Amino acid sequence: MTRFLVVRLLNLLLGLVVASAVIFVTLRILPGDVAAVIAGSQASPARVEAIRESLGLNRPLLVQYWDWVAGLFRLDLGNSVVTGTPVAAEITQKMQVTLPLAGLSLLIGGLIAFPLGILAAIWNRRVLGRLITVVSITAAAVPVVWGGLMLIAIFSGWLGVLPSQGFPIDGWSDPARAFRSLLLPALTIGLIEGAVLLRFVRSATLSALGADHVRTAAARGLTKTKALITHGLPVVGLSLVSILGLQVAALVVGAVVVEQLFNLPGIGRMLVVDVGNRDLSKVQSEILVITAIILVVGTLIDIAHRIIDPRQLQAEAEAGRS
Amino acid sequence: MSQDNRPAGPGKPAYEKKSRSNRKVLYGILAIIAAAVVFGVAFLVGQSTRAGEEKPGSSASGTPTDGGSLRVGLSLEPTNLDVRKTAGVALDQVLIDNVYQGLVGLDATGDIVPVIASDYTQSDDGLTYTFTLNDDVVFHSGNALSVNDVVWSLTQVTENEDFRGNAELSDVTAITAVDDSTVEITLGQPNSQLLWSLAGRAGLILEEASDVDLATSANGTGPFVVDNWKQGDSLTLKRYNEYWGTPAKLDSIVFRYITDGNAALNAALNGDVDVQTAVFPNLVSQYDTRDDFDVVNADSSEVFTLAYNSGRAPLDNLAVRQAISQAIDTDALIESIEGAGKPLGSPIPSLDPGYTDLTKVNAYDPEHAKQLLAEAGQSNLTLTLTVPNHYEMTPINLLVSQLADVGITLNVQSVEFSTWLEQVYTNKDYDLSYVNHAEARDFGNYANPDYYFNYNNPAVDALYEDSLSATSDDQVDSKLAEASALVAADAPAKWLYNYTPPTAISTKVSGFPTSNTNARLNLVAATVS
Repeated sequence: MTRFLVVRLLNLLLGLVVASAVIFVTLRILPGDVAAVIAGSQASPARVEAIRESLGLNRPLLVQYWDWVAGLFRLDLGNSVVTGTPVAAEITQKMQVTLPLAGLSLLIGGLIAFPLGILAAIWNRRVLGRLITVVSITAAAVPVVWGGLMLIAIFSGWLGVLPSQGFPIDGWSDPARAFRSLLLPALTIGLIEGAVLLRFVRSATLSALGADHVRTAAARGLTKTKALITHGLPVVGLSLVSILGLQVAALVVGAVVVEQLFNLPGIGRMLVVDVGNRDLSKVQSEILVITAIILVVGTLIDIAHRIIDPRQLQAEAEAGRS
Repeated sequence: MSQDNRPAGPGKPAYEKKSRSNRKVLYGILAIIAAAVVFGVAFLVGQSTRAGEEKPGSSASGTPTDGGSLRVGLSLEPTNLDVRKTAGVALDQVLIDNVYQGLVGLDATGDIVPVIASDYTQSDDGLTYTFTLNDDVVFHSGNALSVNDVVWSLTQVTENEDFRGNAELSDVTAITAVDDSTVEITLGQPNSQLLWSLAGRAGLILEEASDVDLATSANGTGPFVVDNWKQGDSLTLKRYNEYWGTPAKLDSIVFRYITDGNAALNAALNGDVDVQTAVFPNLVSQYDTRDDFDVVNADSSEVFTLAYNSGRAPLDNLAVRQAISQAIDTDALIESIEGAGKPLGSPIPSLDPGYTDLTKVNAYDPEHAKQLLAEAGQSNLTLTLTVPNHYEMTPINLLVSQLADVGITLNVQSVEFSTWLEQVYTNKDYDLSYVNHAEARDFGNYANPDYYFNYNNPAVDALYEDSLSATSDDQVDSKLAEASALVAADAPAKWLYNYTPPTAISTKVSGFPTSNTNARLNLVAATVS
């Protein structure tokens, strides 16, 4: 187990190092540069050059990369060259929008996926079960933008019950108001995300229904449903934890689109604006933070799996490694 | 997509029956789900009953009162607050006049007026400007403004190449404090634009002893102080009660940055903003139908410019440029943006010095355009149009079809603004470019052979120089008018329209500026009831 932990943590570290290099290099391929953006469309080449010089953009790329990484080791994400604010502070501020948004989206997605996915599996051969499956496949294919526009049209335009734009200026000081402004965007991601998850739940439940121990329980006189609930669902839950880990990335992508659409001052919109400004030193820190979150969640899920699921330990023991 | 989640373990299940605890877990999950559903429904119901509540900030009477908070929706946010280094009118718009001031400024009609200076004189040869300072001007830090702050601020601009306005003050040879309340600026050669420059970024007066971070806060002498900036969302100004002049009426101003036109409309209709500037033209009718908003088209110096790369064949051929210009029906373009623009035949809009009506030069004449193209052997011309992707596509699509009518195929290449800056502005690697030249009095771009137009006419350069060294306004006007007529004939670009951005102003608001609002927004006299 100790060895497993060490290996996983080393993997995590290696992943972050590789990610930092990849992020740094790919961003440098983008055309345009921040000095020109700061200087604007009336500036002489000399002024652009003076700004570039003052920002240290003339230094060799390796030096710039090393500067950034050295800062990361001091837990310093650097300052934005465009806005002048510390990147860490701004990420913290924007997370107050994006984290609740992601959490709410997952909650909505889960509330849709679990009950309906299990029903779709139990009613596998009924019309209703098929209907759930077909609807979920359709919903999962809906582009986020289109889904959001539909929801705005219904809840904001037609019914007029929910705000469709922006976030209260004073943030969470009025929690109800802040929550309401996140409801439609979270619904947008949650409905589509829920449809994706639903299919995972359904297939996991189906395989649980077919699993030996559930069939044995059913043979002992439990109804199929009861056997599933008592013996099958814990296994389903376990496999879904891993799926949720994979969905973190999907949530980030969803947030980028939805925050633009609903005018929310979150991480996603910040990224779009910063890439537009070519504030690369800031963008690289932001993307690395997001990557780190995804990798850490993945690592935690792996470790949790090891602890929760005794079969993995056993399988390893039988394979002669531990 | 379905996955087989059957564990690849040994045949013997290691799973033990723990039905009781499982049942508890399940009941727990069901309870949470039920609670969430109930909560959500209750929320929506509560919501619909709240709709009848009175909005904050509205008062029963319709008469303007001092105080209150004015909420202004803007589309373009400054990247940071550093007035010395950061480009863009988005910053001028909110900070100049309101937070920072210069020796001189602009009044509501765009005329130059003394601000920190109580008055100023100009020598007959146009080489010496003498400014007398107002007493008791104070910075937001609470410290009094001294003559040295003025000299230091202006000297900083002349000495630092990366400061905004550095080029505009290049004729300045000396800035001296004559006594405690007099500043003298000496020029090497006359510059008719000096006062104009001093009324803008180049002339803002900062405190020498101050060490505030200019990128995220400000310390000026204006009627408002920067209270709070939430990037990507809003900028809040508060009235400065120790202001040296006539204090502002508003307690605070909240500038809300909403890039999406529909989002802005919703914000206005929901009562989240009192004024919405730069309304998307196709949404104007939505505001028009409301009794509580008036829509005004604000004059501006913004010129939507279709630039031709005169340094690249076949656009180095005058006939081809004229043909493109004559193929474009600017009236139809203006109609496509709901009349939010004025026709223009040269780079100089009506707010700027030297304006004359040149709309007849290279006016719409598709038959003649075809003829010109045929004579130039370019009847089947294909060109690329590079457009920053934040502009409305309606006029651009119309341009494509208008040019197709005379046999020119346009490939539209939509790029980020930063890419446009590199490709078009810096590298001059383009055929046609579509961009809004928002700066006022930027005619000098056409007198600069290095500018991205690749346009070079020595006669224009000379006339522009004459306009700079002119010592009377009439002289300035006539030189510029003459130069702009030459430029109009040379067709280095088509000036599609002088944008007059629609501004939706709540009937509760008075004293909101209606000229040049995209570049300056002096709100010292505005009120909201």
